Amino acid sequence: MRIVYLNDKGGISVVIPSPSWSGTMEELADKDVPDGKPYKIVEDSVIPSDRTFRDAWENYEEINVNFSKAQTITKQRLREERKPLLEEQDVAFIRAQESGSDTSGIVAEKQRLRDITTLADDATTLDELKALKP
Amino acid sequence: MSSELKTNKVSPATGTAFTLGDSGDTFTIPSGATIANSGTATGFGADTSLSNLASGGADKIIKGWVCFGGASATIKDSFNVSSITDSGVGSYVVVWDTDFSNANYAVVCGGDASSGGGDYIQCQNSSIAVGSVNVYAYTSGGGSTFDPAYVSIVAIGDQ
Repeated sequence: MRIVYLNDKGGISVVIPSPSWSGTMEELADKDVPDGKPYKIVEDSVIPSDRTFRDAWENYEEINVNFSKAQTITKQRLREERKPLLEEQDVAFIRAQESGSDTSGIVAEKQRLRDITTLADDATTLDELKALKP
Repeated sequence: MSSELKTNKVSPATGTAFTLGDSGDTFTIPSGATIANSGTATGFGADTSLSNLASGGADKIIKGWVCFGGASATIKDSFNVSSITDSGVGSYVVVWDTDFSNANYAVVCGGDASSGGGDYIQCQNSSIAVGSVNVYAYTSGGGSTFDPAYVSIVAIGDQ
């Protein structure tokens, strides 16, 4: 069993009892849920096992994913994943300049990486967001 | 010269006390023999056994610990922990079963890194309360949080 409630950051907190907890879930909620927070006791299976968009969970009565927050999470992931790729292109650009080679392909790739986060705006499903790669 | 005294009971000739030997004597209890004490034994020095630490050395013992999976949001094992709260990616609250008497206890935390180096797990001093402690797992540079495969927390202090 788990206890879920809406935390102060607008997200969902999930209380996981210790294996040694011998009281009831109601007693645990009285003890460990912050005072005044409405909560719900649920089966383990109610908690999504996919944590890809964990920080976008909302609605403790019936947990679902806030799509707008999922887009923001995806953009942050794409920024982190593209960072080493942009650095590679920077090195390639300098080497191309030093050798007098054509840089147009490198410039285009850098622009594609810069624009990658806009793909999250175009996505309409969580699966589409998950599939996005730089 | 040695001799063997066989008797079922030794009692004082007068009063309620008697003495064995003199200063410097050694009395040996052979291997396999047992002394069963059903009364009170005094003068044997301090009891330094683990079972007596709670009364004799409470400052020396660990008052709470937990090992849990951040990514799986499960508690593997614990002591004096009633629950952990999964507050989001890399953000957890450990709630003690028996509170500490003040918030000046020591907390040690550790756990798995993500794929990159430089990740760290932190128990912020401002989050240490008598009944709980917040735990955060940050990627290198503290830019974002992550779910470690496992997190371990140990706390020592006054209760």
